[in-house]
Amino acid sequence: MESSVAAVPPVGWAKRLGRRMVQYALNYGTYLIFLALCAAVAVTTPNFLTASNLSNVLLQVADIGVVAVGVTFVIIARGIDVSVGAIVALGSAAGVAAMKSGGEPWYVGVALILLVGLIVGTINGFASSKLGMPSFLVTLATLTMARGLVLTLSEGRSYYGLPPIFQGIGLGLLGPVPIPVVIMLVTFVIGHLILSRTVFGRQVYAVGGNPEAARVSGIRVERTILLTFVLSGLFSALASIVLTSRLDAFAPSMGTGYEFSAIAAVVIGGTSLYGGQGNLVGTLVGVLLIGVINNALNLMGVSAYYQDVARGGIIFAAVLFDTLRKRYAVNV
Amino acid sequence: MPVGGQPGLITRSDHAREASPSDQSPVLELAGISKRFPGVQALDDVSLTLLRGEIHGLVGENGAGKSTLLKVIGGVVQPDQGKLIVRGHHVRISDPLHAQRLGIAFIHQELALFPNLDVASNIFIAELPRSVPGVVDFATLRDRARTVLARVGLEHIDPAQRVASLRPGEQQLVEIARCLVQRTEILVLDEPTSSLTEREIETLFSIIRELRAQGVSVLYVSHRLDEVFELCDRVTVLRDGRRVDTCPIVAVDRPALVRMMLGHDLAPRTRGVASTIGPTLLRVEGLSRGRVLQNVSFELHRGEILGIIGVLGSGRTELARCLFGLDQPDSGKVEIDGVEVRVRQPSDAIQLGVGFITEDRRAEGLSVDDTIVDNVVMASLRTFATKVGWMRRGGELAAAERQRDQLRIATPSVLRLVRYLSGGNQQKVVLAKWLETKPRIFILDEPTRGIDVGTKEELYTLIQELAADGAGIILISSEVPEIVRLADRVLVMRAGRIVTELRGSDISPQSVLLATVGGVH
Repeated sequence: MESSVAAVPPVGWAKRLGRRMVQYALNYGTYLIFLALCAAVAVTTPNFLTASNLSNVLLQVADIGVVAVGVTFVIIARGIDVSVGAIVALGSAAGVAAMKSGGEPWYVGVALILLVGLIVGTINGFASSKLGMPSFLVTLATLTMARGLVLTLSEGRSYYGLPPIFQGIGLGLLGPVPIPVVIMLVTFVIGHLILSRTVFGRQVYAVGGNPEAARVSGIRVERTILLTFVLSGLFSALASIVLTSRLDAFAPSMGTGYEFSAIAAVVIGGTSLYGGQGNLVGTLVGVLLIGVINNALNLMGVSAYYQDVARGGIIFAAVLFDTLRKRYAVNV
Repeated sequence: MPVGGQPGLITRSDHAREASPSDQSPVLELAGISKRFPGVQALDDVSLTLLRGEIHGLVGENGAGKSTLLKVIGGVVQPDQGKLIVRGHHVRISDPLHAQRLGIAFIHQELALFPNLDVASNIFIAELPRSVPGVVDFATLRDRARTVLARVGLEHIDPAQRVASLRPGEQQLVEIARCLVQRTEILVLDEPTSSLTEREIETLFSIIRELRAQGVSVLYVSHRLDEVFELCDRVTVLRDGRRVDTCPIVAVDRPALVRMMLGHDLAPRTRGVASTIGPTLLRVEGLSRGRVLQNVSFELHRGEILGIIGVLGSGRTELARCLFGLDQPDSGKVEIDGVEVRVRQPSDAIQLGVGFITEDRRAEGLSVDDTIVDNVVMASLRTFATKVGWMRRGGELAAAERQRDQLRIATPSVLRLVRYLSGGNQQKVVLAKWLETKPRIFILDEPTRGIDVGTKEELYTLIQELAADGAGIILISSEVPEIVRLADRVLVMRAGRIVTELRGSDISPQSVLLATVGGVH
């Protein structure tokens, strides 16, 4: 009896509990922080908890949310895609050019935007998988090219006034809910089902977890990686449709910084930059967290410049979290 | 020679036990060490004394607590209870750097070198000689490196050579050279021979003995009991986190040691029975790839266990990789059931009913941060999905649980991460993954590497059952006893060619070993 008492001294027990709590904090910290933040903002800012403001929060993050779904796929498969914001802009430029200057109907515009996403995504995926180039540099290159094409196509100008049906996508309501919010939520649901319930989803996790083991297990690693980039391109194009129609305009600077907001949301949501881990529920919380922070800063009247500082801080904290999570997992 | 389970092959060196350990002082003492992890008592009141200038063997099955004990000594894990005494001083080893400062060095299975740097820099990385402050004095560095390299039998290596260009055995000796430079007094070797050739093992052993003569204490962890008998002065046996016994090696024999490790006797060895061999399943003709495979031809039959043995670099693993589509041969043809096939990638091979347990399970066999279920279904995802690719989660779970029960994978839940399983259980997960693909041809590359004796036995039984069910098995191994015990036919490979084929009563440890090492012996 004496030895069993000594085997579990109170100090060791407390230490273990402490370590357990650190683990929980690292695993579920995002959710707790999100709830705490919402509570804090609700208490300090009376306008926060109004239906119109909450709807506005969702509307503000709808396009970034759609982008983040695609980025989650890429990151789980150990890649990174920084070209998403540029795809948003290039898609918009192409679609608006067709509808505005070419006088094409709205569906041609939509199809053209999706085509842009498909093409850029395929280039990203092909170079990152079949050619074995580092995806960060590949997508940095396509980002730059796409931005250049945007300025070429638009001659640096903005365009306003699009076909009414196209406008309806971004400005319409489904009951009380803005259609962009519906699109975002549907995107998350579909993305989640693909990731968690399909063969392809399982292959994405396997490739991210250990590409060599996945290859030996007969999974076509290159093809899987390629598809994640294609998905990322397509989701970015969808975001481009949402944003363009909501603004009822094209502007050359559209989508600037979306890559970092999306990556931040994904990592805040617990998807590991080291690959193989994460899910879209987390990404959704990450997106909402960013939306609430932006909203709170706006409500409190903080300048846009400081908002960038805050966003950078969030990314820093998220990556720190990810790294700590990894370290603790290894030491157990 | 450290190979071979037959008495005639063990050349016990008397030289190994010339020094009597009784008059030596303890350099490291562990007293009453206990460590508990969630759900398992990894170490329970373990005591161990390492004397100055002794080679101390540490043996036990996987999960016996060896790894945890090494982590305690290395400062990676803090014990819940117990004392550590280094050279008479009570210490708390806070981290690996602290262990190094105390003169404790580790050589692990996985090498800890900088493959991109030259040999000399690797050896002196902690204190590079400088001419002007901040500027490396390369002439001195290489001179000193040459001296140290000579001490570990690597005179022929140019210190300016990049470590990546050395063979694994040479790399390991470079690591030992680094320990020498860092004034190591306690050297811990964890399965150091798993990727070495026979000759490299001999060199390693003579260097370890040389170190002992210089007063270095060695803690030697190995699954290969022959090595323990050849090399060690004393041996400590762990089982289920407890110390079973510590005794001079001359006081025990192999069966006694195995009994201590297992708590029961090992089943007697039986050779594979050749009577069930059926028609030709696989025919390989003139397979060549660069210099690693040259005109390899053979046949595999249903129900046959075909052993392939050869030293590292003989082409055994390259052959497996070509058959499985991981590498492409330059020429040659492969027939399965009489039909010529082309395997461009592993998925083609799997479709044809080929399974492949790779030699490196952590790098190529498993995704250790995923669950057991995820790993078990990884090679057969389609069979757990509807036509449109929708996964049936229930089917996956049921399959994983069935495999867990059949293969006796020790885990409370199939939703556990593979990382937390012992090596033997991890290997069972790899096997389960391939069983789910229902292979007709099973390529096993070193299937029992780094696995404890008990699990080895279970795997041997499973391999024989697979063959009895009509599968054709290619068993690649560098362990002579394993090949001799299981194979119906043995192909010996050397320098990319099949040099000998042994059948039936021709297969003996002596014949296999001789054919493997060739005329060198």
